Amino acid sequence: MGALTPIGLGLLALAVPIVALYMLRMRRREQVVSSTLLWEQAIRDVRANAPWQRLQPNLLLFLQLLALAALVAALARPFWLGATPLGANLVAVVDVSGSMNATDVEPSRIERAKGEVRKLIDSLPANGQMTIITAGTGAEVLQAATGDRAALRQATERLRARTGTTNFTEALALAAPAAERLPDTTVVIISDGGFTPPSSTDIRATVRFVRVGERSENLGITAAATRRTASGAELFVRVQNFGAVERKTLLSVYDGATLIEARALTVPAGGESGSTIGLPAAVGILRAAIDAPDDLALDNTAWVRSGGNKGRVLLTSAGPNTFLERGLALQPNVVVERAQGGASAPVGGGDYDLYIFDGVAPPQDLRGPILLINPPRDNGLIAVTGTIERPAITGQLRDDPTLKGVDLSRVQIAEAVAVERPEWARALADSGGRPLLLAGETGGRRVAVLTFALGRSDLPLTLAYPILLANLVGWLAPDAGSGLPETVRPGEVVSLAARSGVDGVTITDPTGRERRFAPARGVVLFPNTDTPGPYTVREFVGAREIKRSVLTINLLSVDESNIAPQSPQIGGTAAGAVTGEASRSRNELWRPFLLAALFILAIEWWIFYRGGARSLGLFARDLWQSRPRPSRGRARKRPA
Amino acid sequence: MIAPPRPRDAVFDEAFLRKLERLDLVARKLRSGILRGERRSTKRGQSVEFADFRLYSPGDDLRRVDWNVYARTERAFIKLFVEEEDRTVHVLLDVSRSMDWGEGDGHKLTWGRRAAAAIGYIALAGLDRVAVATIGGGVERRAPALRGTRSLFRLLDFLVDTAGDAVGTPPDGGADLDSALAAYAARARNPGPLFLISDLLVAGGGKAGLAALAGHGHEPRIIHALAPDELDPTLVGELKLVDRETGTARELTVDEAALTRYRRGLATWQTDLATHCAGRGWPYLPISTATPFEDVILNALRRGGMAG
Repeated sequence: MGALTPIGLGLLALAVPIVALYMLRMRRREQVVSSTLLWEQAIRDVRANAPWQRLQPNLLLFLQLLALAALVAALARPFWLGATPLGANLVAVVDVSGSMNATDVEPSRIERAKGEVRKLIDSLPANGQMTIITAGTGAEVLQAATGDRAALRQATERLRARTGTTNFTEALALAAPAAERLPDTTVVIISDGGFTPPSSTDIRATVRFVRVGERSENLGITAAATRRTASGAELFVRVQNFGAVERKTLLSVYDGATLIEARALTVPAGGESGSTIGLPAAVGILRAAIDAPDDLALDNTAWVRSGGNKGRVLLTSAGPNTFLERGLALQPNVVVERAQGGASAPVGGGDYDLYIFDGVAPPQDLRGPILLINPPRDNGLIAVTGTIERPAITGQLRDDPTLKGVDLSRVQIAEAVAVERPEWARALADSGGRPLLLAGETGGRRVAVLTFALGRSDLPLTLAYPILLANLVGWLAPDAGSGLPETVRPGEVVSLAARSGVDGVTITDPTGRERRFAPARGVVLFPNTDTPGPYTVREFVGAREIKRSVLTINLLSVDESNIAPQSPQIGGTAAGAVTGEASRSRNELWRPFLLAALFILAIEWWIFYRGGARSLGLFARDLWQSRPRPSRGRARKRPA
Repeated sequence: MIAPPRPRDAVFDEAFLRKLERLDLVARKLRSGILRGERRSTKRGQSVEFADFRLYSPGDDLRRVDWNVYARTERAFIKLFVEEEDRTVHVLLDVSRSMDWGEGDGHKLTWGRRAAAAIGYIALAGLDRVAVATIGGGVERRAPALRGTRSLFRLLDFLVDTAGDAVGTPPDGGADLDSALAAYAARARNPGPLFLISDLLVAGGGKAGLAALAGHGHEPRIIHALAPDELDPTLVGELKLVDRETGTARELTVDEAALTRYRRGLATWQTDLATHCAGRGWPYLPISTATPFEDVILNALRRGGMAG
């Protein structure tokens, strides 16, 4: 609160001459009475407070002083900083992330948030419009801009805390156009602050932050993952304590319904505790749970699929092959391991989804799918007859799945190995009938052969290279890496890449509800990921189930588990920020004061010239009841 | 039926005369019941009705010594007789400026003139002598003593002439009711029942003047006439109250509280006057001029106190 021209307040001194003039000017109506004798008594009693009596019941003077006060207040140009006033139109962005389930406030944060929204609806000006946007893992316009309060209230009732993280960037991206569409719009973010503030916002509107939530008594699992080590698989679980006191808890790890391990943990206040738990050889879906009665139950359980989601690729090469390693690293669904040892060293134990041999002959007893690059002589798979100098790729099987989206026609090759196409293979690309890329099935496995070293061509520099590699990996090891992401947050839309030929995908969520999807362009989009837990994904060709995999959905978010209410800076550098002294808006108040002054003067004029004094006097009498004024021709009403 | 010989002012119109006649009938009935046609004087004097004896003292008329008693007791006693005399009914009408107040029939002076006429007429009808005078306002008029109902119109003419008195009185100074009453008391012969019609709006309420009248043998009867808006004012607002009589002004914000104080003061004042008069045996009749004069007169007669 402050005034831009506080010196203007000095004009309040004008009240003195007004009062003085009034006292001088105060004309009493002359009233002849038969005798003042009887009035003496009445006058005598009053004389004690005579100075006040002169001014007491004068409405006009009162109004003049009021108008003066309002005018002076307007001249002083008062303003106030800080919480910016709500605009004529509102955009409410409501956090519906997992942390809003916290019950540290009664009955829960989301209910409080609903209350805030209702307050906003109530405060909406008569012709104002309001938009309600939810910010969860994704953002959603719950109610487009409307002045219909009933619709807004209904939308408010539909508000529900989800289980995911908070994506305010997206929510604000929705809010920005909504705010710009209408003038004088305030964006009100109702949240517990449990989100990573977006670095900048492009909202050209006042942004206001309303915080819900009080305390942060929460113990949560913020990380859970399996990994393979030389000694076997193990599960890593991180439990974080966001509260202010040290907490003891019991971490239990289940394989299905079987308890694998129970471990007592002590987590210091604000600290964390990591646990590594060795896993038996074959485990399915692991469930890690802590028993912690706290404000947020959502993060007390995490599900992990043992072995991860990625296919494992063993790469054996004669020497370092940067192109191949880089190319494989780009494949999202595989993890590449390099074989120990040199050229034809025996492949280590363990099942790999794909074996890649670069200039090295694969072992004869290998049973997995093989990608053979630059095959040496006597490789056991394909007969090598010599070399080809500068072969030009003249033909390719364009409709083969491995060449989908791949154009090899411009690839320059310095030298390739001349091979004979075996019966089981088809030539995907050839140079005048001499195959350069072959694929086929032999010995119960899929094999692909690239007859030239990557380093001896410009293939790795072309756009076709990563696509070709992905196609080959996908074809050779279809089971490797189901395409399921490692971690899925609740509320996120999961994109499942269906294998070619798959015409149906069913997904069973943890509650047992099964949904069936038909892949569109080889992709299934699964949005119903609100419930954390394991989701079973089954792929069908016709009625035949060809693959079953598991998708786990976990909160596993420090931001959401940390339910401590915060007031984040939103777009500290952008226009219309909420916090920070520099960006606080200054709200000048002279306008209402001026309007009030004009209004008061109008009333005074009306009273003075239109004889409104009587009716107003009667009004005042009704108002106070202590100063009844009888009027001629009216039955006197005594105050009760 | 009393026919007005000439048009008089609006105060004494035909309706008034009819009321007066009816009043007289009622008054006669009342009087016959109460007074049996004649009036006794409280004085002892020469008449045929024996009243008392007293011892002779030198200077007494020897003719009135009761010789029979002297023969029996050898002491000279004087026989006293009830003196029979013409009673003079005095009617004093306050015509000070404060009486020039009120609206229509409630105008205090109009009311007072009518009441004075009525009282005078009833007195005349009762074979009393009537002395009418106006006091206050610096102008004093006295009618010659009137006798018999034939004098009614002289009474009315006199009262008609008083019409302008109150208005004509200079506002400064005001009416000194007390001194006017005292002067009347000093001048008036044949003291008797004295009707004072006044608003008594003077400091002291005319108590001193009434005491002077009583001291000269008058029997005051006070008709305290106040206008309705004096009894219950309807003023409101920022007022400068100007005294009709003295011209002095008082400033007052009249609101309900002030009105309450006014009513309280009025009640106190009237109670004080009533107590004062009752203590001296003077009938005191506070009236509102909203009440028709004939009702007041009848009421007064019925109560007996006024008619004497």
